[in-house]
Amino acid sequence: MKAPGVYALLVLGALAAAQPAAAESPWRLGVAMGYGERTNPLVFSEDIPIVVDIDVAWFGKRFFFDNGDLGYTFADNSLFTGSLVARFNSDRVFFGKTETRFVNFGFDGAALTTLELIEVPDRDYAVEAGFELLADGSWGYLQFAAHHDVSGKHDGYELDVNYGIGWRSERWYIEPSVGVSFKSAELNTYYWGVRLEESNTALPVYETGSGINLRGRLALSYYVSRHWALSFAGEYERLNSDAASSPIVRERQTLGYFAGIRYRF
Amino acid sequence: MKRFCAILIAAFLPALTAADENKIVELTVKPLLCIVDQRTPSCDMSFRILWRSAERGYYCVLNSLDEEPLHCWSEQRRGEVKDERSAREDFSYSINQGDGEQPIETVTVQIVRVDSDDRRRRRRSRHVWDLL
Repeated sequence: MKAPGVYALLVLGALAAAQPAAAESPWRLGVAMGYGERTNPLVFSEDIPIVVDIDVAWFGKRFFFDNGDLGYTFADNSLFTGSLVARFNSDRVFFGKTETRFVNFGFDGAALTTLELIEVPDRDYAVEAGFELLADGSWGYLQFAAHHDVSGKHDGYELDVNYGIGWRSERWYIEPSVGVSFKSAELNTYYWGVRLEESNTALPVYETGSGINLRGRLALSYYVSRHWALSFAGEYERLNSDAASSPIVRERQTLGYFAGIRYRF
Repeated sequence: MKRFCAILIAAFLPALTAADENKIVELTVKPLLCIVDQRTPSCDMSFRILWRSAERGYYCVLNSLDEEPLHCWSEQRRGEVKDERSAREDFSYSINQGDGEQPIETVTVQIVRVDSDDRRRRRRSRHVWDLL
């Protein structure tokens, strides 16, 4: 994260701290420093390092902003909270850390007579709009979300369910969660397919169907004080089989982890 | 990396150097932090309060939630008391030298709530860089 981002966070933090102590601030601001990375499933790509994780969120009665997601809450009762949400699709981030390489073997592993250029195709961020439902209780919390592309990038949709439960013991807090995402054929093809104009002998045309991604996550915190905590998070995601079979994908799973110290304003 | 180490040291140094050798009276409270959440909204704990003074005398330990002292000692240089407490907000223990005297030393116990009544604060945004 660049320095201006940190300065902006400090200003927002001062605003959040200015709220009356008894009332919950509409801001949720935090910064975590440490080390982590997210593996990149694409061929000829670099893993994504995570050194700083900045959390900037604002929750009004109806509207909210949560780290890039914009929402409007239309229902909030004892059973669930329902919101309309606009967001950027997160699959695009893998395409920002790729390289171009010449290869002398094809997608099937057979030797080629000439060197072929493999360039992981460029993909755009898609703006998606949809709704999400949140419910919680002593049994944990459940999040259901449905989003459709509204930017004309992939014209597909994604359904997502996430379940988690947290336990605490003195200063320790542990929260495992699991999730399932259904990705439509259009979304899958846009990000993980290969179009005719992008193809060559080493990189054949590839179209995908719909698929289901699975993931699991474990977050662990040790609270040092009201503001400081030591945090660890690890996440595993298994790509759907159609995406995993793409010639631009080398690994079926992505692994992410981060360990560091977190400050909450 | 150097900056990260400096921040780490700045964060933990106060805790490591809490015992100031120059103080006349040293007051120690364990634990100093209590985590609460929706399922356990109040902090129900047994606190251990220890004090030590360079001079023998009359000392009382007080809790900010009570008017009466928790315990008083006569002609003592050190003491220890346990306090079973249920609290939802920060409170403090202090030590003075009797009725109406100003506290010589005060230690605050922080009650930290780790969740919120607003469900949206627990939503998971599916951003690749956001792991926490």
